[in-house]
Amino acid sequence: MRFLFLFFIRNAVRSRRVVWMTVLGLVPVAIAVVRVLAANLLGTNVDASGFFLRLTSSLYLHILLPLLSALIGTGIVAEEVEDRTLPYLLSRPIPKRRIVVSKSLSACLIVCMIIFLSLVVSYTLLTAGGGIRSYLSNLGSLFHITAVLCLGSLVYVPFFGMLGAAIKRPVLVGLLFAFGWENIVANFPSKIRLFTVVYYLKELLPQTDTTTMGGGIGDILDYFASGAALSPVVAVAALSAMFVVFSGITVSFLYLKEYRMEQG
Amino acid sequence: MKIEVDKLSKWYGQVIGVNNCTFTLKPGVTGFLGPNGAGKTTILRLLTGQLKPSKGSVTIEGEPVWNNHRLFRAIGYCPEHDAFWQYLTGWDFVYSLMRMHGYSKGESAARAERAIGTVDMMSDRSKRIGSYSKGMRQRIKLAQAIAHDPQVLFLDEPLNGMDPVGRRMAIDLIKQMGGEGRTVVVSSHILHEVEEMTDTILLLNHGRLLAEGNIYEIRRLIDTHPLQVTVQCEEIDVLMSKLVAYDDVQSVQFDRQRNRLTVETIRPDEFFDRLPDIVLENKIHVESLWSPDENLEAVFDYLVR
Repeated sequence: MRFLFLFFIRNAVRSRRVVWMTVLGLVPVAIAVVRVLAANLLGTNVDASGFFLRLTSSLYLHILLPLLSALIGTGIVAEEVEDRTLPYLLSRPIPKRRIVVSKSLSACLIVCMIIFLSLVVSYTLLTAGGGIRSYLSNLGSLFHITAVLCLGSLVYVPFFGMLGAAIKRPVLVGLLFAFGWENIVANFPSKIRLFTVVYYLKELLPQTDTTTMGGGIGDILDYFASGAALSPVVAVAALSAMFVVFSGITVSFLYLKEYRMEQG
Repeated sequence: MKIEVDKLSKWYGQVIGVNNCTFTLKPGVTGFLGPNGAGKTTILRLLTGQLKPSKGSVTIEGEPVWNNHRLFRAIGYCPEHDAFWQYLTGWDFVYSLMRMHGYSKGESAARAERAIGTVDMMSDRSKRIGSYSKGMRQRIKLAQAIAHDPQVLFLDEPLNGMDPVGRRMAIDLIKQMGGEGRTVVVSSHILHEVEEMTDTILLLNHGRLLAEGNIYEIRRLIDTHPLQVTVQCEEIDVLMSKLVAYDDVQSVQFDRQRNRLTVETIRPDEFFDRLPDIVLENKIHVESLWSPDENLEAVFDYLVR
């Protein structure tokens, strides 16, 4: 299991897909740079922690996390089918579930690493002006946010992996789910939002003042939405259950479904 | 190890890939022979558990293959696809697959080295597979299939794209493994390739098992089956007048627009022995020469009729 995990990590970090994903992960960094430059030019103070939290909610949670998870997660099985390397894995004396779990975990780690790298750089840029004290004072938030987003990747990646194992165009369907269902339904005031991942993740993030948020469909809908807060224990339990269910379904697909490699 | 295939069928929607095949594979080399699309690759994928039978069964030593990962300790598989994790070197590729077999680092390295040496790839083992030629990729695929010393070996068109030296090496290796008492199954659409490896063949066409047994019977059938040969040259009248004099030539057809002459002969060997002499003596400038039905397809059509 350890070797398989490291094997998939090694393959992933050398792939072009992950290089592009890392570049994508730098978009929030660019926004942080613009914000800092604008503040310097206009001579205004940057509310570093406030802006960082808003950046986290609007960009990382609603866009970057689902996008990276969709693009990397859908490849768990589909990539091996498209690259026609699946027969090499399936002709080894290893259970199929071990292949899926190892590759899912490696995909989660890749997503987490890209997000963590991007968060650390954004955070450093935004808080650098305030000195070391300002930097250290909100370090807890940085790790809190990273932990929540990593937990999110542990649910999103198996979900998108499940799509990749089940259907032919998983990325398209995955993006529709990420930016349709997740970004809109999670903000509905009804109980239907319990069927989204982002709802639970939002409950776990450090709370922000939504009335001052500057953009994003999620933020705008947040303003109109209301509802009782969920306890962190329930949110973590719900996310854990989703992780188990999505991983289980992905594994089942590999046992039940056969993958015909196209002649090449 | 004994491989039993019983009333095996595989269909994809309305399309039948394999149709009610029953056979047993025993130790030694067995060739799966058939034209492209005959169902060879589908049967090999069923034998290696890549596909699930629609009907019937595939068992190795009495155990079903589908979803039975334990069997793969004893199975080596060289797929037809020219597909790899392109970022790996040849050595990384074989070593990684050995690690997936559960061997320790040292044991995997030793096995990888031995297998890569067997396929004469030691000098190129540190190059990325992406930079390999087709023949080198075929060799490294073969190395991963044999590195764990399997008792059963499934090789799907293993000689495709190999240079003559590589082909010789692969043929000798396959014969040697069969001679050691392993069950080796090789698929090919080229008769003489299979002929060099084994006497035992399964003849497939359109997903059906047409014949099972000795390759020389098939060869005899091919030799007695009239062969069409088309010659393209300026001097078709001269060539025709010379060829019709021989009793093995059954018919001759002209295509004056394209300067082509199609001859049907019942003794191809004699025909090909004679043709160069006729061409040289009569100063005929042959632009091209080919046999439209030289491939197995014609023989299969003949067998099915």
